[in-house]
Amino acid sequence: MSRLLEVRDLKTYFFLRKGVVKAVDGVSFDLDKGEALGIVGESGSGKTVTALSIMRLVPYPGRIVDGEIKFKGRDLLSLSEDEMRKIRGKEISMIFQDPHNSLNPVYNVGWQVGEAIELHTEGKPIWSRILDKVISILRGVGIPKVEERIYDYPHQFSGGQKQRIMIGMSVSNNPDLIIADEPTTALDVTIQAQIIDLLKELRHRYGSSIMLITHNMGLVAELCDRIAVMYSGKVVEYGDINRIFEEPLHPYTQLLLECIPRTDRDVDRLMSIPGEPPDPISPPRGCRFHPRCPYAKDWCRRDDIYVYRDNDHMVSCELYR
Amino acid sequence: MENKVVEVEDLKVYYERGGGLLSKPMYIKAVDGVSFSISRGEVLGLVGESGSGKTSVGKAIAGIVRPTSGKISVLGRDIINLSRGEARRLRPKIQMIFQNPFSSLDPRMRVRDIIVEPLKIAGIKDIDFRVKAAELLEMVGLSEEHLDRFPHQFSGGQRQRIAIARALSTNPELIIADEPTSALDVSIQAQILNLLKELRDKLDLTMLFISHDIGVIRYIADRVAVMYAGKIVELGNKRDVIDEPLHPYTESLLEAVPVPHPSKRRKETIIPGEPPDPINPPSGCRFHPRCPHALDICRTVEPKLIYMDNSRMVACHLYQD
Repeated sequence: MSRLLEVRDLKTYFFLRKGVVKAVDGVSFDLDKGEALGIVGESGSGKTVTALSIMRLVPYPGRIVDGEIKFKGRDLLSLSEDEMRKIRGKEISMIFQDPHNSLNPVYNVGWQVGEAIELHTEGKPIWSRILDKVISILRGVGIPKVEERIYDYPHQFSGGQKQRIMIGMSVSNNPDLIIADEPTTALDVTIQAQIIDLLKELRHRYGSSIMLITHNMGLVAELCDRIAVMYSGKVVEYGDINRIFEEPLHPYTQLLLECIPRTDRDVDRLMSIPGEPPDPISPPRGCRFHPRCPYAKDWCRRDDIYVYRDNDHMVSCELYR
Repeated sequence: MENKVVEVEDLKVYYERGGGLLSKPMYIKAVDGVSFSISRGEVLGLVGESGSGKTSVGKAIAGIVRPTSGKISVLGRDIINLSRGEARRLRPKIQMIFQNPFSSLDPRMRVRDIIVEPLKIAGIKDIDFRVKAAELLEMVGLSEEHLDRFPHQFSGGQRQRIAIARALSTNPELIIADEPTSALDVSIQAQILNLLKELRDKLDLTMLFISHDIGVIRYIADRVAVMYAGKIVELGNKRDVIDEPLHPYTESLLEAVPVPHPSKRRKETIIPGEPPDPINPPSGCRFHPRCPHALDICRTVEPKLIYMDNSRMVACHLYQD
């Protein structure tokens, strides 16, 4: 498989009056063509900012301060805004968390999906042709009676249908990479299952790579080939999905998996992680998880935390030095 | 029966919408004929998707919404038609914990006042409120030093602990917990669930635990009631219902939950469609338009919730003569 995306030592900081929030602080990972990568972490771990950095959509007062994002061999960070605009929505597209807020309420959905296609069509757009494409896309994502509904407005659709429309919009230009940021968090579990199945199907149909950003380990297990676990702006463990679920190495990954209440088995007492995630302005020295880690030793405070690598598996933890 | 703390009989909660000089109002049938009881020391889990009516059931018991019809008795007393004096004595015995700890605590009150407010409302005067508040804080894993702080100085998990302390202040007969961990990260969720479980064992609490997360219900509840479109479709001991669901809806709900392990990927048997319109629910069984086993009778006759054995109930024509 060939490399699609390479992120190296990405740092995205937010410059606030009370200090600098190091939302993403040295993140590296790869994504191959056709592969699905899950980025998992709790709120504030930096997973969404990582995605926005790749899209170059980091909101003020945030800024990418260091690192490299290589997409199909090109360094995205050195592109002009015009060049970047040509990539967004065409080569990389994004699906956001809340389908209720990501569609424009005053335009009908056919127009909105059509706009995404028109923007990336060379030459003069021919609306009848675009309309045909819109219909086939919306049919492809499972909107019933598309011809009748194409001029309906977002509020006339349910949450699940809106997310289907968003997904349709994101695949309308056959992107190489779809970034899905918590695409099902606002939806019920039976609708979530439908959306995940749709993503799986589209991935096979178009061969797009998927970057799934989520707090839900179950969804990653369901859809992804590789996983990156983030904690406090850093990737603490990264590698093949089967290996990491079978034998998680980082204490945070281990505990995170143990504290999920499972439907398929009983436990007397759930594992929990004591304490709370660190303050992003002044995170602890060394391994940022050490104040909550049951195995923490003095040397976990050192600045250069050991990174263990074995083939595709990466763990940043002193236990494996 | 003496050991029944709550008994709910044919509860209906309709919300009026629209209606004016010339048009008739429409009724949203949020809860449409629900019956169950909770014994002393028992935790009943109420599970369902958004719009299934589970929160309205909780609110009706807590006295926040007035039922359209039906009976709710707590400790054998009808609590819908109480005189003011009786309400003052009985209501404090039912306490509620809400989903969002960021909006359920008054930002202008100090923690010490928040926690004992229910006691003051109940008319209790001759105790040292500060000592009582400190005791309660200790019980939920916070300490005396937090007494004089304001809610914004706490994290989500800590705020939920404060909300639990407030709910415990009156030694309630019944606690209604409405998605108490849905707004929290999974590592914090585990802390709160463990706290609730400990308190329940220590204080012999009786609880109605409302959640959309079947894993959480399996962990915390003894029995579970599954709601769909305003009705209970299945009720029984949690292991029976979750390990061997009888109702096709329960079955599909369980199948839709992603298990956090890649070897347990879901088979592609998801239910199509979406929950019905609560103003105009389908005739017969409300699940029939989505049900893979629907029979002719399901379209016309509403199935009754009947006993399968002495602890298990299901409302489905597949199990009725």
